[in-house]
Amino acid sequence: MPPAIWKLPVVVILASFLLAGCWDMKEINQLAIVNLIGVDTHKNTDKQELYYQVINPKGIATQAGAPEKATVYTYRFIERLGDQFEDISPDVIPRQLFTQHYQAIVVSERYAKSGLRELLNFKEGHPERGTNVYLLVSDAPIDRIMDSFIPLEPLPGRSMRSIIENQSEMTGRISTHTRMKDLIENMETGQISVFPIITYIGEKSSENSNRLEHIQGTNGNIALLGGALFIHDRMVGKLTKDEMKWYNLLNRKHERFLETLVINGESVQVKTLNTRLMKKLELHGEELILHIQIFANTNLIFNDQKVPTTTTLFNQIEAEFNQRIQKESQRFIEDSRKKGWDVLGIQYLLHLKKGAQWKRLAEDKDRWKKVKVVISSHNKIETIGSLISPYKGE
Amino acid sequence: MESKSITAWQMFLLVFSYTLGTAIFLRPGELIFTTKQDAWLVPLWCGLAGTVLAIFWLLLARKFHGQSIVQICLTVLGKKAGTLFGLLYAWYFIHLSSWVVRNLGDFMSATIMPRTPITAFHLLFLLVCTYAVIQGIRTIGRVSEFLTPLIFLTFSLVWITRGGDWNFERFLPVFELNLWKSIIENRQMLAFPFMETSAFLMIFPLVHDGKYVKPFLKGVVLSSLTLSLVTFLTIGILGVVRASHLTYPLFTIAKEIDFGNFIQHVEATTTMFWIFAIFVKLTVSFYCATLALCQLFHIQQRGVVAFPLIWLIAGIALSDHANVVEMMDWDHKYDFAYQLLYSLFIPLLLIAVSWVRRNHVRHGSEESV
Repeated sequence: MPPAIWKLPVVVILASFLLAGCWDMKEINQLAIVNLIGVDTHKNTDKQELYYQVINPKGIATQAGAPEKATVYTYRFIERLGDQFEDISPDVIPRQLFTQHYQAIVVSERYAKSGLRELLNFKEGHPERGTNVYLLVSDAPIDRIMDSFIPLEPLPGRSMRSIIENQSEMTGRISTHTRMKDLIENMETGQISVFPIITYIGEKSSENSNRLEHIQGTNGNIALLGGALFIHDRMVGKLTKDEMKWYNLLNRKHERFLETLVINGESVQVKTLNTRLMKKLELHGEELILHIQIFANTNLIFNDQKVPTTTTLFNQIEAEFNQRIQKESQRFIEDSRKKGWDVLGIQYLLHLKKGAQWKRLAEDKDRWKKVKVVISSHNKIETIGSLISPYKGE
Repeated sequence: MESKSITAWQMFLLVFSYTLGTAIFLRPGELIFTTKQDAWLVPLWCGLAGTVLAIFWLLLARKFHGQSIVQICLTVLGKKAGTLFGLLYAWYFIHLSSWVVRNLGDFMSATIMPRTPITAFHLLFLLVCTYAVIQGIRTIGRVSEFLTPLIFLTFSLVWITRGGDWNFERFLPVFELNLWKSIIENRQMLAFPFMETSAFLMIFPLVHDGKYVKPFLKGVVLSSLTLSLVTFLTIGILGVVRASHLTYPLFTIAKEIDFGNFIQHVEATTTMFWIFAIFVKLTVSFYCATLALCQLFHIQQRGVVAFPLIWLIAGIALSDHANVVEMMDWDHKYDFAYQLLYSLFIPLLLIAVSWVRRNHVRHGSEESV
């Protein structure tokens, strides 16, 4: 046999080994790409209601000028968390569920209050899913959120992610450290975690893509309402949007912080750009003191003062801002203490300390309540925008 | 029989990649589970102990210059006992290869390709390694030269892109390590990967001009530092809580890369490069198994041994442990004792027997005078 003839089958056999990859082949046309996941407790059973919002590729690919099509479809299953994925989805969905690129997970308030441990294990333990996605708690019935088209952003999951990231960048009211993995890390250390609460504005869900033709942007849309406070894996309370700001500032969750001050009877709005925070827990005799120092470069973004813009005014703004931070932070800490929330993670800080004396102090689980907190703020105005001297209108 | 040689640089890269190989995937999570925030210290003392062992093997190799461990067995113990001990080493290298290939299969099944049968990974990987083994140590050395920079680059990129998640608080409270307790709890870390480097007793004679001392020691020391660094970075990025619960924390670190909302889900690409390190480890242990059998039975063509070994290694890989938990359990309970046999007891026996025989011969010659 000439060499070329016997080499051919060998090459074919060797090349056929490459087909081994076909077992895990993922053809994009056979995938149901999940964009948003929702979980709720089922009322009458111990099962969960699971919502998978799947992208409709044809809806996404709508040409300019053509009417808007449904960009997503929501599938609802009532099953136990671990069962549904492989067992139930093929009954309804003609494609293979693909969850590697989902943007956010929304859980109902009642489900959050019952504990998310099972959900976290389910997501963390599967190679395709993972926990590097934003976790939101729904104040509204979850089907209303999962069954609604949202203006401007064709994918609701993407919309939620953008809102979180924009808020984080602009106001600091929401931190980007609100992913499922952040809850996992705090769950076992007993630290508090805060995740955004979203609600639905409107009486009923916007189930039809015709909603995208309406001019009303606010109605029939989702909005961020505040924060859901978790201890271990359970939601135990709520923070208002304003409280979220203080929580994020005092826990170094974000560098941005936006505040409106009233000086000389007129408004001034300031925004910190790169907030730095130093926490130091000290023992003075038997008294524990937590020193928190806040440093930031501040941007004056709105100035409606009628007095001339001078260094005296800036000193006044800086002093007022520093005072506001100290006062409001203390108020937030005191309010939280009354509710039994260790929002500064003082008990956890006690565990991080070395030495027998600190270990003894950490054994008292309510020690954090007796710690004195001293806050000092050091802000300096760095930029003032394009209006150096505001118009007086006189 | 192998007559080609590798350079000192290639030897260093082989030792480095071999030691990191599968350990870099499996060890950090396990260490963080047992030793928490101080886990990064464990590879340092294990590396120190590994270096002491390495010096011991180097002394043995110098005493029997130009001979592999199998040849030393034959020289010292004679044909029958030497063949028996040589076969023990051949089995050890086969066993090592089956662990490595199973680790790879478990990793691929659990992370990237869950639907592909694990045997497919084993056979295909072994087939590629067989080709490298047949080509010889110089080819393996050159492949290592080509792949190591890629492995290093991929690791660096992963750590850089995850820098934003770094938190020094995760190391608090520092230095709470109870050294003695940590040594007892993590003794398997000394076995795997450091005692496994005794496989290089087969490779030493193949290093050009016998310059294997420095590259070998450098490889062991640098890989222990790298393991410590990887564990350190894993704690800083993932935290003790998550890292100690995950089977493959390194994979999770790669999976969660999100650089500017632009570079995401690069775990498959990064894993592909990391698997190169496993390839080097498997190829070296497979090569040692093949070479040991060739030297024992005077077989000239490695292919005659290597191809049948594919089936043996793939079979052992499937039957040795049913799953990764069983493997970790075995590793924790028995690996240290098992590795002691090959890395310490048999070499000690060889030295003792050669010393007794030398003294006996000297004594006999003095008597005859």
